[in-house]
Amino acid sequence: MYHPDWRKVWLPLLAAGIFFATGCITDAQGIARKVQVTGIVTDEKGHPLPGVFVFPQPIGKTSGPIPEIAIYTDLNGKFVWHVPLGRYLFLFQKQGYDLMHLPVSASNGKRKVILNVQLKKST
Amino acid sequence: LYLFFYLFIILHVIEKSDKGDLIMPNPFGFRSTLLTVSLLCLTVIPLAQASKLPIAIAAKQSPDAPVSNNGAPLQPGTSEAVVRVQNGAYVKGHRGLNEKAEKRVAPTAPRSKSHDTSHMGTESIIGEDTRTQVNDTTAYPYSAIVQIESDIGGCTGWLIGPHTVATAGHCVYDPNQHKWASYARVYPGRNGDELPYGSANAQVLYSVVGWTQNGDSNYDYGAIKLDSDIGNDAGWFGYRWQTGSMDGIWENISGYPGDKTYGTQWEDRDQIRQTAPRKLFYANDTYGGQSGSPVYEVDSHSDCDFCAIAIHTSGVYSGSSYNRGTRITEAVFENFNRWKNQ
Repeated sequence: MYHPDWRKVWLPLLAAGIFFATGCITDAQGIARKVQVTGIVTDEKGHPLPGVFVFPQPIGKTSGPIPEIAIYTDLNGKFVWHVPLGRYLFLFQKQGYDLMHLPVSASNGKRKVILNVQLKKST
Repeated sequence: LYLFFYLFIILHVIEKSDKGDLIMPNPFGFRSTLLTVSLLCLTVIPLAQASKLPIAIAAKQSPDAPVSNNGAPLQPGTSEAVVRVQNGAYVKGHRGLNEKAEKRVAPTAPRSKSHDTSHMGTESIIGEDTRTQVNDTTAYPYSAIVQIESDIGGCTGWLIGPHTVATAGHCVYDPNQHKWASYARVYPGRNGDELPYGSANAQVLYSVVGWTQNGDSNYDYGAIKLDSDIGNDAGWFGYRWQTGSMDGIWENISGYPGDKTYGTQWEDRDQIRQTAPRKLFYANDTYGGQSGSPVYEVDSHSDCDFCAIAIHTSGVYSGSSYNRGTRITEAVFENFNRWKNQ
């Protein structure tokens, strides 16, 4: 009976593996990885604040393009942004309330960042 | 790469005897079977793939291939209004029923703030904020600039025909959630609560494959077909493409930023600082909500009148000191002609 030499089997297996892997890689395409940044904005009493302008400002040299779209919180005070990997300063702005900035790091291991924000009335 | 694997596998499987002769393995054994299967994998499958390649290439659409939210086939664009010039082409704008127009003021010197890099890489206000409010939004071309409200977010657009608005691709299609805006409403020349031309609703949304399938910011542009010919009153922009550098062209950006009183129009003037094949870079101050704004020339260009050369898309990022917009290339120009003809 013929007994295979396992020391010599690994190479063809590796070759086949690389062949299929490279096929998969070259077929891969799509949208750059992004991190979801979401949360709820409330007033000092904890009530949801609709109509708050929320905008991520890129910081440093690693952040990706941010479309200059105006995202406002909905009736439940909720907002959702999808940002490329990088560092951002999230701005929260509503007339009659103090402006707030919060730093966010959208790093590779994260899929979602939750920012629950409380805005104070302007004095 | 495949040839390398062939040689390596063959040399690895074939053995040498003690005398140095080559010994083939048992033809029905494990190693021979493995060798045969490996060679088959490395020849038949690549050949099969190669035979499909021309079909795949043909099926793969150009990133500038237009798409719409209803999937309906598009009529070809009209070439009647296109004026060909030596290094490009333009389509003339229309001032609408209102003959008032912004007085052209030729800029005299570059803005000193362009040299201030203290804010570089942090926001789309570059240096000091020099945006000014447009008080008379019924004067052309401000009348032809529209605020866009949709479930994707607040944006700006600009009329390119009686019932067609040009804007950024991300204002009509969100590639992160793979969805078109479910509704969009536009307000030409809006000034706070004043709606001098009323509003119009989107009937069809357009963009291109490069944006909807790949989210490639080089193809971040689109358009909206409206349910009324609101542009006949509000007017519309001309637009043009040209080959070569556009550096030094004086331009203006006017739109609806989200950090100002809701629905007010703000503008800022600068010049093209860098030209890329599909992007233009400038130091005009902009903000969230101004995506889709026209980047239009302040100096008259032939008969084009107020002539757009790019669609504003994003602010400063990745250490660049300039904001940027999608350049109107020949392909973008042809798509605008096509969309306005639907």
